[in-house]
Amino acid sequence: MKYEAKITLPFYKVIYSMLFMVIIILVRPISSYSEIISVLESSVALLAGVFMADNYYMEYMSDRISTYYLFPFKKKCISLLKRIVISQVYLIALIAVFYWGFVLMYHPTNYSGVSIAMLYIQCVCACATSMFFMGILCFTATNLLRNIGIGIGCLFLLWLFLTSSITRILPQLLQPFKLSGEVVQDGFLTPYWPSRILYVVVAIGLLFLNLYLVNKQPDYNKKGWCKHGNKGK
Amino acid sequence: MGIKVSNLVMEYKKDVKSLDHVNLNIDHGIYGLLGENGAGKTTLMKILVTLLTPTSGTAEINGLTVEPKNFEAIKKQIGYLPQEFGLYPNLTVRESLEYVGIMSGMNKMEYQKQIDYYLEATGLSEHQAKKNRQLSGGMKRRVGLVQALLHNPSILIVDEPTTGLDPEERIRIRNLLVDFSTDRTVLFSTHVTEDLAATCDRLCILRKGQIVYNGRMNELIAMADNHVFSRSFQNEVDFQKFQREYKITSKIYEANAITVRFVSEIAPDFPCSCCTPNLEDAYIYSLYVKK
Repeated sequence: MKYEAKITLPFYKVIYSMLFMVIIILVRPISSYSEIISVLESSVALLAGVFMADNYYMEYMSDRISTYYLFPFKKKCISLLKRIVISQVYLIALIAVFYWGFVLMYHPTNYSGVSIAMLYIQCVCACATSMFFMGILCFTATNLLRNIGIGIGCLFLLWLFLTSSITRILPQLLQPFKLSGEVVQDGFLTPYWPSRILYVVVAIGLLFLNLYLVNKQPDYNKKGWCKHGNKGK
Repeated sequence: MGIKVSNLVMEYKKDVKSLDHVNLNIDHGIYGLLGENGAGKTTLMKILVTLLTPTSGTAEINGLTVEPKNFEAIKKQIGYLPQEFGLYPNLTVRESLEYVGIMSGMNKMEYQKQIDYYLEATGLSEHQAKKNRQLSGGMKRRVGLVQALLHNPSILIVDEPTTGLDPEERIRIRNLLVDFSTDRTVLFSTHVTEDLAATCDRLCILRKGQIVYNGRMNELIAMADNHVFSRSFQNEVDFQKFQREYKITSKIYEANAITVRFVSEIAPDFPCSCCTPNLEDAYIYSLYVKK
């Protein structure tokens, strides 16, 4: 596991993810504890997508795919699952810590009748599900399209759609960042859990697609192969 | 058993064949694959290591046909060092190799023993605690060799391992390949004749996807006997005219003359001296001159 951790969490990723959290805290002021979830969740979902996009694709970008492909299928699957788990655990720990950055910065008040601890747990759990879905989605898009720029670009477009008011045309179940009660009731915004559970299930399905992609010969798309240093020999 | 290739064709798009009905039989020892850039050497190697599926024809590794149902079994029997080879920059040399050992399915004691042995054999023991990003090109290539050999494959396939290396590293890599070929089959590709001359006694020359020569090195060189000549020129004009008509394999500017070594199918009718051919002469002869 230690090797996968070193591979998945290079220094630059740790730095940019922390900087991202600092910037979010600075540019999105809040006045109550209940608002933190609405500010944090959609932002960290985007971060998760970018963070996890190259968990497998890095093998292409760094000219390791020829040797990585030759490892047994089962080992590759376990390796990728470990990388995903490590990324997710890191991101959850990140938001668990930086949640309190909002508190330190803005000294919010708690208007709701629910304890701060419960608000915190709900926020972390909701963020975890959204990060899992968006992370796996971007991971899959990158592996499928063999292009990290397009993978992240597709994620960004989807994220823009899902965080805009246009998303209200979708049924509640299909809105991943849905908070029940658009009208704030006693200052308490609760995550709409059915949609989050649905998207977690979708993400698990996408994971299986990735296991299939990992076993495909890396040369199946010659254009993509040529792009990464293996020029028509 | 080794490697057997029958009528292999690799066609990327219509009428563009990277490999054109290639037949090869490689058993124990070290075997060279020589050819210009784009000859099909890397394509052939990728097919053998299951990275590519050929358009038609068959390849066998130790009796196993290279097809999807045998991929997992074949991967266990081959070690591959590609020409473009990357390492995890954050891991040390030892950590990278331990990771390869784990990913190859070896148990801890087995891969630790192998790592110790190969680090010693490749002169990397003192560098094992260095991060991969601190290594020179030659050291990275040696680490690549070790990762290819770690699971003790019976076939080692190495793609242009000496490209871009200084003479000392080239010699070291070549000598390592010879050492490692004593108990396995090694297929080694290059476009530098010196590398093959120093390591192999059998080779195959590829050109535009087709085999031009396949056999012993001394027989290839013997083919070029009486077809390699040397001549001196006193002026540039004569030389320029000569250059357009003959394949020159070496050219030296001396004080008052230009001395060239060239290859010709028939003995020229102008004054020149016949030379003993080397592998490079024989390669040029077989590729461009021989009818």
